Amino acid sequence: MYLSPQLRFFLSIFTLACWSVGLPSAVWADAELEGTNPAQWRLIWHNDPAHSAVLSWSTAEAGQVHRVHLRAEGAEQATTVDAARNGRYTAESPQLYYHHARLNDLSPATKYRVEIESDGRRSPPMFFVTAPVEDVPISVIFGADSRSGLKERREVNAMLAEMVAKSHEPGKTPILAFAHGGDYIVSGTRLDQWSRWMSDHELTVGADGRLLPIIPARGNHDIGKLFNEIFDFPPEDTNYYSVDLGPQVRLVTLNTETSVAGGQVTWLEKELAASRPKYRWLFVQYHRPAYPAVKNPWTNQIHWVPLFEKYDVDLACEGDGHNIKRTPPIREKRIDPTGVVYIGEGGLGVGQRTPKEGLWYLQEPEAKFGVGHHVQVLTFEREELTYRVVLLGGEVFDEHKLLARPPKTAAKPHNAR
Amino acid sequence: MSVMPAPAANQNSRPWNILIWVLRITVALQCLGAWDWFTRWQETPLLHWLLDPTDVGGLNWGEATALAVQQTVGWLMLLAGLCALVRPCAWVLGPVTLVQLLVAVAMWRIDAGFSLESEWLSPQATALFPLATHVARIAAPIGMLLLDPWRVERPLGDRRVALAIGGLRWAAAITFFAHGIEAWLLHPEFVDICISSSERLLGTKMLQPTAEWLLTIIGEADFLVAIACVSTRWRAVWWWMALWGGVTALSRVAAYGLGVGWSAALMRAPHVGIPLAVVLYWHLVEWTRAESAAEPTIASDDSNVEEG
Repeated sequence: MYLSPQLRFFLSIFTLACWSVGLPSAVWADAELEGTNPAQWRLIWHNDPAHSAVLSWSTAEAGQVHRVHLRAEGAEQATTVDAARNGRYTAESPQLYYHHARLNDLSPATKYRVEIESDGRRSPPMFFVTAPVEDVPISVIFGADSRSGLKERREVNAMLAEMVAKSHEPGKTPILAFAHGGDYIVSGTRLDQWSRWMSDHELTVGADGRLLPIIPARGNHDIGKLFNEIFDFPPEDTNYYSVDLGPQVRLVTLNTETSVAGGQVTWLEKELAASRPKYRWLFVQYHRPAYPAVKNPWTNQIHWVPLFEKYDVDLACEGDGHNIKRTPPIREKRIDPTGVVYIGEGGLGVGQRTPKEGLWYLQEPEAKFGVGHHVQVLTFEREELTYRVVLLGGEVFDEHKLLARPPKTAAKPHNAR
Repeated sequence: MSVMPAPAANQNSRPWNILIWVLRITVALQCLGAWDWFTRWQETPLLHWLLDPTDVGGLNWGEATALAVQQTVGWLMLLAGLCALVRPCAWVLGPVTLVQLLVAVAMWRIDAGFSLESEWLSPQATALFPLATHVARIAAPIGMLLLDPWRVERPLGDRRVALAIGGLRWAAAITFFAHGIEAWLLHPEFVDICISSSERLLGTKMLQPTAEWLLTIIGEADFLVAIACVSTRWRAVWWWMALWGGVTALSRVAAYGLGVGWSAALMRAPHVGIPLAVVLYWHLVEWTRAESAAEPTIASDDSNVEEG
């Protein structure tokens, strides 16, 4: 086939451009927001991801019929799930519409093929896998702060897609979901910024069409109604909730942007009291850090940390500080092997800050800190939790293991290795 | 026998000196609070404005430079606070005003000034909200510059005094109104201050619905007070504003302890000092008028400039 020199030149430039952002999944990114063309898809896990998920997308026009074609692996026929919630995003500009299809009664650890349809226009075929109910090793990615550094944000998203694909190779522990610790964008009321974030989020879809479920926490920049519209929370929801990632792994998402001392504390105490005896691994994510590496401690240090310690939370994932940190186990503001380890603090694109190396909880060898765009991979197994910081480019910056606590409510050694 | 109109307020009186010292102490305290904020706590809107990339409203300075600049500004604020007590002048109060203004501008630029949801406030209004919440802090040094200038012949002209008192009056009204909006919209930080204060002071943790009910009342009271202070001459309103400004400033100490809360409280000194200065001025005007009435042939009343 003859290609003119001009065409070859432009194809080369295009290929180079795709390659330069390192995207084997680039084909999935930035679906065109035009008419009722489905775009900005995202799979959201709220409570029981073994049996339910929310598949959400955006369109530029309101449209009439919005649905998801869903087929379990091995099943002959697809079912159709109508979007349960449709509406215009609360913003003057741009004019965009959200659609949320709530997929319920799913089977655990099952691959579901999906296609999104809005008024006859379809997304590419994609798939997701529900959470297991068997006690098997799983991994989760934690990251935060993607509000600026947009080029790096896209690169991190593309890296996520690659990491997830590799984690599903035989003999590896699969990455199930992506816990986002908040600060997706700069101004939570600006739909143009959210729209760009949602389009960039498409890059987390693998080259094979695998959707990476997101478990969102609200950050201080994510104010306003759009957060709940984008992630299908009820309009007045205060965004603290728990997710079972397996029969022995529970993630509690907290909200530092609503009252920290009020009803959330009451809920948190009930949640931790009920969950601790049932789950081998109990970890929390939220935005503003209680043990920050750069900034000042948020008021959650007063109101939440005593509960984390009382109920022996295994790991606290924090954002906001724009750096990398892992503290030693902390109890009553002292290093204590029975304490809680705090990690974070956000590097999904934002420029990095210099950690304060004089802080008592950042002293090596018990602690580790640094800078660089990164994600944190948490692998939960029967005996231990492995924590790895993966920098943009794939280098492992930090690796650390925590032993499972004995199954008691009383505090017991939580030795780090 | 003088043919000049008597000043609205006797500037040689002890109450006038008290008024001036209220303003001096107010500015000195807010400078002391700012010094601690800039140098010890460091994470300020100003720093984030300097640090953040330009595409998100920042100036994209390096972290080390931004921190060094802020540290320097912090120490200069401490120096300015001391100077405000002994030798207030434009070279001192001008930069203090500028720093307070820059903090508000920084909050506006990095969109950190209004974290609440409101359907009846436009995006433009919420973007400029920090200017409203900070206007008292900006106005205090300006008011002092007008009322207590260095090397300016005394007594000060009535227009100058009227401008200063009028400016302070509006600044206090806007600040109270803006904080009233935040209280009325149940700012989570305010909710937590109520809960934490009750826990620390009373030993009983206030329930969130109770705190929210209280904030609704507080917000409505702030609206009424803000409106009353620019539309009436009730002295009680200004005494209340001074008292309430003090309570809300000290609530940071009540909620988080002295070590954490003292600088946050001091930075809010203008919420006390400005209403106090205005009410002292009005009492002084009354006294001056009474004195003038006792000597009717010497001075004539000039009620046009009384209220600013």
